[in-house]
This record gives sequence, C-alpha cells and structure tokens, in this order.
Amino acid sequence: MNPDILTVGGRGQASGGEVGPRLAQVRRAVRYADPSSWAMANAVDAALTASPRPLDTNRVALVNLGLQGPSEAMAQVAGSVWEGSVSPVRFPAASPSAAVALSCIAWGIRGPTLSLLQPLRQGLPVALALARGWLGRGQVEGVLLASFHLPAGGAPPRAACVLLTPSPEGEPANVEQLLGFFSTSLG
Amino acid sequence: MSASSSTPVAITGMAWTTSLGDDLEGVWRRMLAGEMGFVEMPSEHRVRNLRVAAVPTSGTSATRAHQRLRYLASQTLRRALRQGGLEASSPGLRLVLGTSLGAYLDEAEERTAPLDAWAQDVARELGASEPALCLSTACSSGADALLVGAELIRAGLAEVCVCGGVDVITESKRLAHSALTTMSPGLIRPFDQRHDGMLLGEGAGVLVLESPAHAARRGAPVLALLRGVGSANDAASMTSPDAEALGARLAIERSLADAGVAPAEVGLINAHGTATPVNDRVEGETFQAIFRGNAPIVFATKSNFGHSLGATGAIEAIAVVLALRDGRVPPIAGLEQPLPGFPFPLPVGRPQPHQARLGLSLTLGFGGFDTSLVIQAPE
Repeated sequence: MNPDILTVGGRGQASGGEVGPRLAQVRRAVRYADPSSWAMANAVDAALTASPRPLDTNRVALVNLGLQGPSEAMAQVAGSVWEGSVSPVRFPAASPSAAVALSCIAWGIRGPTLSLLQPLRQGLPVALALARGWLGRGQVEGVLLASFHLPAGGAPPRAACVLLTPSPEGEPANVEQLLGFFSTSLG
Repeated sequence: MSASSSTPVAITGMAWTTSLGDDLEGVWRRMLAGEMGFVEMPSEHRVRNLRVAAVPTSGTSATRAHQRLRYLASQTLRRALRQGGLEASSPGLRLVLGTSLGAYLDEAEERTAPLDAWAQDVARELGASEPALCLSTACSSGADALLVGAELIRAGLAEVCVCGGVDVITESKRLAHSALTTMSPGLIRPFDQRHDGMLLGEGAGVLVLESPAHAARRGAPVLALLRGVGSANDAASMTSPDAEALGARLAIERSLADAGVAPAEVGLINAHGTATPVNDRVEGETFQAIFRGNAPIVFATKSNFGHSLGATGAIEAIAVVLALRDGRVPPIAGLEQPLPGFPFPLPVGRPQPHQARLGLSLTLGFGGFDTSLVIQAPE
C-alpha cells in the first residue's frame, strides 16, 4: 500500500434528504437528524457504492469538512431552551459532528472520524495528510472526505463525498482536483 | 517500533483551566488530595442537579457563553505557550482547537456565524501566524485536537501544534443532560457501586506538540511523548456507547499499534469515567478485552472537574502526563465502594503509586467518537 498514490475510488453527490430503504430503517432510531445529515449520508453511500471493490467499513475513515452545522436541528434545540426543556433525541442531532455520526450509524463506518470546521481550501490539505497517515500505517483501507452546503433561502441541502484509496489505478487525488469536485457539487 | 507505528511527538508545554483552578501544579495537588470542584449554579429551569464544575470568570468581561469560551481558550493557550517557551506568532506553529457545542445552541450569533469563528477570534487575539484549525467531535474534541496535531507534525505540515479543547457550561447542555438522565441527581462516582451519572463541568486543556528533533533544536524540555493516537466510531447510537464497545476497542488497538507497544506495556489508564452505569460497564469490558493479563491502574478525573465535554480529552491527557511524571495517580474522587469484579486496580481514597512508563487516555463522545492517546514518560 503506497499512500503517496492517493486516488479517487468513488464519488457521491446528494441533494435534499430523501431516504432509501436502509436510511428509512435508521430514521426509526435517529428520528430528528438534520436534513444536511441525511444528505451527507446519501452522498457517503454513493461514494462507497462507486468503489470498484467492496471495503470493510470497520476500516474506512470519514472526515467532514465545512463551516456549516445542522442548522435546522440547532435552531430547534435552541428554541426549546427558552421553554426550559431540551429533547434528548433532538440534542445529539444538533451537534456539529452529527452528520458524521449519522453516516457512521447508517453505513457501519468504524474508522477514524472527524468533523473539521474548516473552509475546504484550508481543510483539504489537512484531510489529505490525515488520510495518508491512516492509509500508510494500514489502519484503514479507504478514507471518505465529505462536505455539505446549506444554500441560502431554504433550498435543500447539498452534499458531496469522495472515497480515497491508495490504489495505483485511478485518478490521483490532490487539493485542486478535490476542491473542484466539491465546488461543482455543492454549488 | 513496528512497521505500522509512527514517530513519537514531544509534549513541551501544557496548561489547563478547571473548576479546581488553573495553576498546573496547584490543581494537580488538589487532585491528589481527592478534591471535587463543584458548586451549585442556579437555573431558571428544572435541571436534574444544580451542581456543576464551573470556572469562575467573575471579575472579567467574559460574561456570556461565547465570551467565556474565547476567554477560557485564550487564557489557557497563553499559559501553555509560555510554558513551552513559544509565541503564537512563531512561523510554522498551528493552533488546533476543538469544542463540542461551545455556545452554538445558546447564542444565535454563534450558531449562524461560521462554526470556527470562536477559534479564529482566539487565534487573532493571540497573534497567531496562521488561522486556527478547528474541529468538533463531541466529547472527544480535545483528544482529537491532539490526534490531528500529531498527524500534522508527522506529515511535515507544521513544526509545532498547540492543541486543545475548550467548553463552557450552558443552559442547553444542562437541560439536555437532565433529559438524557446522563446527569447524576447526586454526586459523580465513577466505577462506584452507587454510580448514577455525571455532572457537567467546563474548562480548557492545551498541550504543545512538536517533533522531538524540533524540541531538541530549540532546547525545549520534553514533558512527555505522545507515542500513539487512534480513533474509531461506534457506528451504533447518537448518544449511548456501543454495548459491544467495538469502537472503543478499535480506537485503543489503533493507538497501541500507532505507538508500536503491546498492551502489557501500558501501566495506567485514564478512563472516560462518566459514572453512568453503561459507560462504566463498557469501559471495564473494553479494558478487560485488551489488557487482560496485566493490571494497569485505572483512574478518572470527571469527579474532580465534572464532564467538561469538548475540553475533557485534553485535560485528561495532561493528567496522564502528570501521573507518569510523579509516579502516582490521584484517587478517583467520590469512589468509595468499587464495582464488584472490576478487573483492574482503582485508586480509592489516596494516591496510588506506580512505576508505569506508558499511560493511555480514552475518550468517548456522543455520536460514537472514540479516541485513544498513548503517552510515554520522558527518557
């Protein structure tokens, strides 16, 4: 495994929070996840599905990048504070790391997981360094980098995800190329 | 070191701000004496317990939650930098800061601004040469700041990373943990037969990380080595730890592999120790699965400082460094009747001496974020 050769093993994009059969099951347990979290779960699924070979999700990492949080869930919890009662189910959905948590629950991802509150341009070099370290030491066999965007005016959230693997075949991953993909996908 | 292990990272400075004070040695002495740092904080609402481990900021201009978050971070960073003999403006120095929820759910302007605004404000106030790297992984945020800093140094993206976690008590957290019943109605007693939950705290912990070579070049004393880091996700629940503890086991195993050490070499463990029955059971079983056959001392700090959420991982890393340095671990405050059958020694009532050279700190966060740090006493 040569982590210097990081290639894009899969890409995923999603808009809105439609849920397929698996996410519908998850929704019964995680009722109040933010629309941005569902969108990211769909993008993560699409990137994993696009992988040319099946991965052991216990050995897949997930890093979310971005400066936005689950704003709808956050606002709901914040509104309830003044009423003197916070829902124990809504509260964890309002965390900046909630989108990562939901994707892990949905797809069984048990590698290292992080939510980097960074602009993509600043965060991608960090995420790539983390990916190279984890892959180089054999801790994981794939690293998912994801981001979501909440457009102004209440339009549905958009999410995008890439799967990085150390395969010598495929498109080499670098900051500019990933930045282009996320910018195009997230609008 | 094995083929999959990594270069150790030197710890050359550290500071904390806690409910027992902010002087490194003074707070450590109070921990060794088994002190608890709780006060009653009034609430307009019905909360399960008025006791919190609050950091006094009266007499400062930091009154609102977003101000207190920045104040705790900047004051603690200044002290860590001073101990490390560094300036925030030093070229090649990165700040890596984490919080769980900070003031996001209690102040609209904090929630609608970019989520890293608090960290960038702190970086600007300190005159940092680069923007701060900000992260959030619930209660693992402080430990994950150290993990990320170590990786940046290993990758050559930074010479020095000043890493830490910070969090503040807010009404949203008090109400949420009351509703979740993770909050004790009485006292926090990790690994005690009467354990019934945690109490909230706040504070900050900051550690200065750099490559040993960089520390040697500038003649900086090495307080300890961060030998290994590892993390995983439970992939099980938004709030409860995985009953099978697979994520916690994976995090510990990855940190040991990263350090290139065997479980038998670890002589003390700082547990997450929230004193909820499920956490105490899961941690006990996790440690048993990995460290069976040797007997590391297990200790915990949340009955001293409360559960300081995004700060706890960094604060507890400092406690491990001090425990390795002193050859003794503080007693677990509030622990009088250890859980029957708990598989490892627990320090009850008085500090427990040890001869360990390696310690491990485990942090478990909502959303399944599990992070493990392996720390070594300096040569």
